[in-house]
Amino acid sequence: MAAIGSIQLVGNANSTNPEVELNNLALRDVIRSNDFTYAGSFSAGNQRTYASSSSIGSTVAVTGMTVILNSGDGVVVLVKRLTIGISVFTAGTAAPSSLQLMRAYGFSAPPANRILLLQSQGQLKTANPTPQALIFEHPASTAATGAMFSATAATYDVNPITNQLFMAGAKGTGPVALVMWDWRDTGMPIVLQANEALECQMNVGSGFGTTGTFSGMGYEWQWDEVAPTW
Amino acid sequence: MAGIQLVGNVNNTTAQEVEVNTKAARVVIRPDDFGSLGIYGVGGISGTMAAALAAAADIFQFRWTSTTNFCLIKSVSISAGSVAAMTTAQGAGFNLNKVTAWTADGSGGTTLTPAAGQNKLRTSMGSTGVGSIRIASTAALTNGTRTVDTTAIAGLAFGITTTAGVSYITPSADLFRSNAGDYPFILSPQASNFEGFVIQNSILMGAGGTFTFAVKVIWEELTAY
Repeated sequence: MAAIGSIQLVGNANSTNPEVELNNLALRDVIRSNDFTYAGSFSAGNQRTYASSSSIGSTVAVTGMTVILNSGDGVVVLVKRLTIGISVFTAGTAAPSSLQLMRAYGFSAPPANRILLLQSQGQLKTANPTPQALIFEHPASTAATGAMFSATAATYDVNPITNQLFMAGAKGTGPVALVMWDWRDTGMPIVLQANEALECQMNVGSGFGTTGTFSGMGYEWQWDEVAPTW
Repeated sequence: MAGIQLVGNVNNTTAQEVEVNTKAARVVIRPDDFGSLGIYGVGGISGTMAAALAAAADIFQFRWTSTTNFCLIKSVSISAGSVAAMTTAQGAGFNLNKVTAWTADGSGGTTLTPAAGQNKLRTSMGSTGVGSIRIASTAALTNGTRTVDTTAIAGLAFGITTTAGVSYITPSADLFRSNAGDYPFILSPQASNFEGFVIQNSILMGAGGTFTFAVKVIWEELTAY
């Protein structure tokens, strides 16, 4: 076929032609966020101080620290990023500890003995609606032991999606900045359909800060809410 | 000619937009088209590793046994720290090596291989086809039958002090990472001489002291690449 003459693409409302670079001949692109249609893009977090008398400082094997859950049918929740910050306030027992990210399915009730993080705000754009995803966090009470959902309330994967090991306990440890999940690892967020959740758990291991306190769970969730057809 | 507009597939009345000032076409990043397969992640923590871990000892194994699909390793991260103080400070390191002709699986340690339906990034994805994933518990893993590349794909060096409860490798340290646009580390389907990777201790650990470590892996499974 004989070569046809050059053609130019043109934009939509902006009837502008995109540019092609002079040297590397690449089409100029600008990366946009997901087209969330009728939902939005959100970020929320909090910070708490935990004493050694809490379940965090005891020998409980696994303790749910914060969870994001999708309780609605109208959207899927795309978890894009979870970051955790930890800094020890007073000296404890220096020992390895870890946080792990667990998927939970088919929950039938909200987490017991946890605090619901109020999200009257948190939209990354004012025009976004109030998010449908709910975030719960550990209240620093001894009652909040174990995973957030009981065996009858939800089903967990056996192994975590990801985890992070860190040293904590000695005064001045940290601040430790833990990236528990970043969607840029794969270009794929963790997708939560209705009644699915993603829980960040403290895995105490050989003992964590049994005599000290720490500013645990300075955390931030970032997520999109999009149509289920995403 | 004023130009033509690029319209969508199902959304075939929607034309792509171009920015007025930068002349850049708007795009949105999507994950690889995994079809009926999927994208997965798994993390694991060792037990307390005994002293004197040998050089070239396996501490983590990932064996790909699909005969039809490709495995794209997107990231491998590791962190580590001391439990009981080492008696002598030293240099240390972990290497990530590709493995081929892996005809007999390794053994020992803790198995992290996801069960059917688990460790998916979306429930609608298929179950992973990975053959086995294991992490050391207190001692080196048993190798199985395989060929380890002489030169590592990645290495990470760190120092060991004589203090208990300190980090050797801080969290989120990458042994390997393939961001968007980077070529991933690909494990190809094989009839029997399976591929995979291992993380090995690269320098003999001291006779005194113990440590623990954690590994996380994120991977995609595709029918072609």
